[in-house]
Amino acid sequence: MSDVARIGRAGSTVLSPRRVEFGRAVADIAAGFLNYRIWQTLTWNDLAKRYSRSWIGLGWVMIAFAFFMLVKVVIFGSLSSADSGTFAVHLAIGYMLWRFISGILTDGASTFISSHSWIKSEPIPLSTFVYKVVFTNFVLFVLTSPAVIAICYYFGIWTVGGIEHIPLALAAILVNAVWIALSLGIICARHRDIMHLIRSVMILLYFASPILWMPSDSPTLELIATYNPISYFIEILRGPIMNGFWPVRAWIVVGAFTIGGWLFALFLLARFKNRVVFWL
Amino acid sequence: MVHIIADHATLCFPLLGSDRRHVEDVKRGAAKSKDASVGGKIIRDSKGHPGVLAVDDFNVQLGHGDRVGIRGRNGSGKSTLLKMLGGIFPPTSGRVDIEGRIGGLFNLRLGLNSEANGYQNIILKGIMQGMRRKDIEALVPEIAAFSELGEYLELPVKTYSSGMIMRLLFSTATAMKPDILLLDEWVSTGDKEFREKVDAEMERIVEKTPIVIIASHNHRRLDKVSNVMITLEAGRAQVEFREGSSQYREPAGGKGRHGSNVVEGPRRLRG
Repeated sequence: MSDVARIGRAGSTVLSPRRVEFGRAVADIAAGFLNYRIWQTLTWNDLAKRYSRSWIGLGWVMIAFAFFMLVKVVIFGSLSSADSGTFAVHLAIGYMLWRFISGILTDGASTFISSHSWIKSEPIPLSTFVYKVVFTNFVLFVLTSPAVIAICYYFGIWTVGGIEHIPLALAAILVNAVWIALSLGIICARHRDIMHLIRSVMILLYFASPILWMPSDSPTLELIATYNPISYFIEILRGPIMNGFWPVRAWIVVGAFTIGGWLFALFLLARFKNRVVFWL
Repeated sequence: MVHIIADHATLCFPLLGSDRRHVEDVKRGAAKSKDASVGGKIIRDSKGHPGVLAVDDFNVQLGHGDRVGIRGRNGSGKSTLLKMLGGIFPPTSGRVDIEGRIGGLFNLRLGLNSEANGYQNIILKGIMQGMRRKDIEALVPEIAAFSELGEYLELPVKTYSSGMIMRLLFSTATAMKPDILLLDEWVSTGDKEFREKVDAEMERIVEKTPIVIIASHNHRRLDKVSNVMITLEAGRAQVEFREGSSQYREPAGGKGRHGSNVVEGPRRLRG
């Protein structure tokens, strides 16, 4: 048998019903990742369709982001107590990450729902579609980064000591994105109301995250930032770039979320892997 | 070794969320509406959750050389059984063990990108089957020749007629050479000449693929091709192994008239 057969969908598949099988869940996560050709292709196809027949294509992601940044910096910068450079960088990095986080939450909720025709016609590991959601949002994230780098450079807020933290922070954010899209995908496939709930609270989450404001602005805001997990995910990337030091508390929270979240997602997959197809 | 083993495999589609209220309607309307003569039974599981019993306690062992025909009325569970044996639907109780690369000739349009050209779509289809780019590229000349689309392969698929799209998809799907081929009805596509070519190609594929499973209403054609015949009635199956199939055992008193063994259908379970 050729190599083709060994990738992802081939080999022995034993299907059995409801039971919590962690081995199968881990195998699905691994097989889905090794299907990188499939999820990358799905992503590029998806993006190509979204920008079909446009000359600028994906460039629009960059243009729209830069435009939006400009307006926000001018309007909200004048309202903030911080100096304009600090505020602009704070907002740019925060907003870039927010777009990724909100993409993971909203697309993650429909991970399996939007891939239902694939899942119902091909024996592909479920996690393949989770990686597609994460990769698509990561591509969009990367496309918005030139505008952010330009802003950091323009205002001269670029701590050299912070640069080495960027890959680690991005890796942590991506690893968390996978379990979030996986769990939300499973939960929302079964309980559709949760998907609509997530969509409807997105704007609320946006204002409750330290993007347009700084926790130091007021005690109330500081309290909100403390109890909003999103602020820690933003902090691990933004903190080192802006201050040059390692945000220990944020990393502890992110680490706890990574471990707890993955255990939760693995349990869901182990328990419901064989049920998801019936929910679509 | 390529095989499919189903061991007390049962598949019950759950009714979920707000769909459940319809089950109450079914119960209330029982006096008004007649019993359905098609479809699976509407049942409740041990927790009282409603569902449709599509495949009921199915057992089979399939191996190299088996040409499996599945027949039955509308809603008798043909497509569901086909997809369960192909690893798409897991059984809700029992077990299905599958070894081999699976290819289905249903839902051919899935993943087609109408903005991309014919060649790009061939590559795309291959990648979605888990193939490497260079392995698919090696198949492109064969696919292009069979489809007879010529220079059209350079144009976006949205410029194709539906018959031309089917030519492209059929040529691509059949070039992949799976170990286990699933067919939901015979593929019949294209104009008269191409259809004849498709029929001949189908025969060649059915001949060459280790395990072929076909769900169809065309009993005559199914009878001609199959050496294992599964007859479904409201989710319950009768399996008949004919001469040439992997499980065929010659009867003690010499060959029967048709040379076949009928395997006992499953016991009727749960009302």
